[in-house]
Amino acid sequence: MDTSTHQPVQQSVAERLDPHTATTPLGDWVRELCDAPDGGNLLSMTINVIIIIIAICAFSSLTAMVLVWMERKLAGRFQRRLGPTRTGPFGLLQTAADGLKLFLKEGFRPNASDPFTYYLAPLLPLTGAFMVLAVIPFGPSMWIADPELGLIFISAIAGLGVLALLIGSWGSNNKYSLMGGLRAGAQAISYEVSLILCFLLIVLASGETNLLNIVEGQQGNFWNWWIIKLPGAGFIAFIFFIITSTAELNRTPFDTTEAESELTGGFHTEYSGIAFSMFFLAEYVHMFIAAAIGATLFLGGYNAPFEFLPDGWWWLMAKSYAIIFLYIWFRWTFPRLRIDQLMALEWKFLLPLSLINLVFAGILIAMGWIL
Amino acid sequence: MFFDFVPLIAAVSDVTSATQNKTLETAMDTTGPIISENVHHFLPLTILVCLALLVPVSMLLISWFAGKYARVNRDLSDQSKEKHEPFECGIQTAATVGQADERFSVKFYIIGMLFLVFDLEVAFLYPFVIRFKYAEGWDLLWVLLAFLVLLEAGYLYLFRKGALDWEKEV
Repeated sequence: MDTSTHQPVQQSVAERLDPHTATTPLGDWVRELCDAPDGGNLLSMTINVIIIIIAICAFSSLTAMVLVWMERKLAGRFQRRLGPTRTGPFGLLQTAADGLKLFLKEGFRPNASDPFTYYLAPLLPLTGAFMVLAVIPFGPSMWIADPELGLIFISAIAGLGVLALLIGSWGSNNKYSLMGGLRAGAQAISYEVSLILCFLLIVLASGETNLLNIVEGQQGNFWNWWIIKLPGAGFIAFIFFIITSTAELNRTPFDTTEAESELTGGFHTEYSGIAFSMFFLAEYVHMFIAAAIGATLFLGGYNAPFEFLPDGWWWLMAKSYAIIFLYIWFRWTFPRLRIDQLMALEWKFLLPLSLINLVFAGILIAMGWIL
Repeated sequence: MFFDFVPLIAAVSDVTSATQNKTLETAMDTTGPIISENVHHFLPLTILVCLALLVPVSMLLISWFAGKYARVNRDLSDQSKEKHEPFECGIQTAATVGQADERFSVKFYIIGMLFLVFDLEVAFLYPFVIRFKYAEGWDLLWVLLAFLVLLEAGYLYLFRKGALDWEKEV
């Protein structure tokens, strides 16, 4: 075959509007302060980068707190009660109050646990969560980093979370924790395979691993989103993505790691105070990230559903929150699976069907049957 | 035609060099410029790693001080034996309370080995699928199918052997 017919990847990354050099009032002011009016130097770039990082990380931490509130409120509604109502309007400040309370708790570590691993474990999930946030494009010029291998970066960093669970469960020196950690490890590595196969389907269809290019490739009306554009295969992959990401997030019906009725909390049995709340916060940041990745890959990211509507971060938020609503709905509807059912679902059902779906999508693209 | 791996090599060079439209040879020569190009993208990530480690560490430290000095009830003198026991059912029998460094089921190791095989498979699929869209018709699909058929033969063997059954006695 003649390799010269291969077309170049759509658009060079440097040509795009780059938030680190973009002309916003704040960015201009920083550049003037650093004596670099045109283009910027390393110092001004660093300061601008730090501003963007703080903005996006603070925003997502706030999102996580809102999600905790939303989960409790929806849980209440699903069970015909009201949920939090007392603290602030509609109970909105409940999460902040809980966080403050957990901040003031005694920093406690059981004597039998290993200090290094016990304190290392709560740090890692938040670190991993913030690093994955870096490559998600919130808008045309709203992202922290834009590496060519964005999807591979995500699948590499996403492993940090389960590493933390394993370290923490091993370090607490408690049999319930150890059991929960082992289950978390087995579950996360099993479902990671079909999660990456869902990513692969999008890479197959768009020919890109760069998330911004993937989003740009879905511009226009909503039938340009990969969930509809690949007839059948995209929708199946989206459903598989929802299932596997629920499992990766250790949420019900796949929460055998926590399983409060058998393991008294699983991996975080021995954690209390701020260490516990960091696991908890990271869990919700991860939930937002999973939903944002799903929205980016399958639902067109920050693109509006119709051409005449303006694109922007609000569309990504709306799509992410729709997916998050699904997660919460699952949690309060389905009973927990047993660990053998969990493993059978992945290895005997999802994995072979994901591979078949990949070949199906390959045939669709080879025949040119794309909308 | 069937075993034409030229597109595969082009795809691999494309992934490893992260540059567009370069053959394998030129991609391997130009290490210098690639690094300077990518500083633009990896400086933010470097700063982010530092900040993302700093934030949780400072949260732990602030909470440690706040828990010690800012509380209304400052009595932290309770360091009794019961408080430091592992959180279990509270019944002092050898089967429940104690060190957690005992042996656990071999099933978890089998899952680990399966994961290694299939995750490598998925990693090998990346170069195929990146170039898939730019290939002509069915050319790359045959390569993909050949690769998957070889692997799924192994998968069927595992299935028949019962390696995917959680409850099977090993």
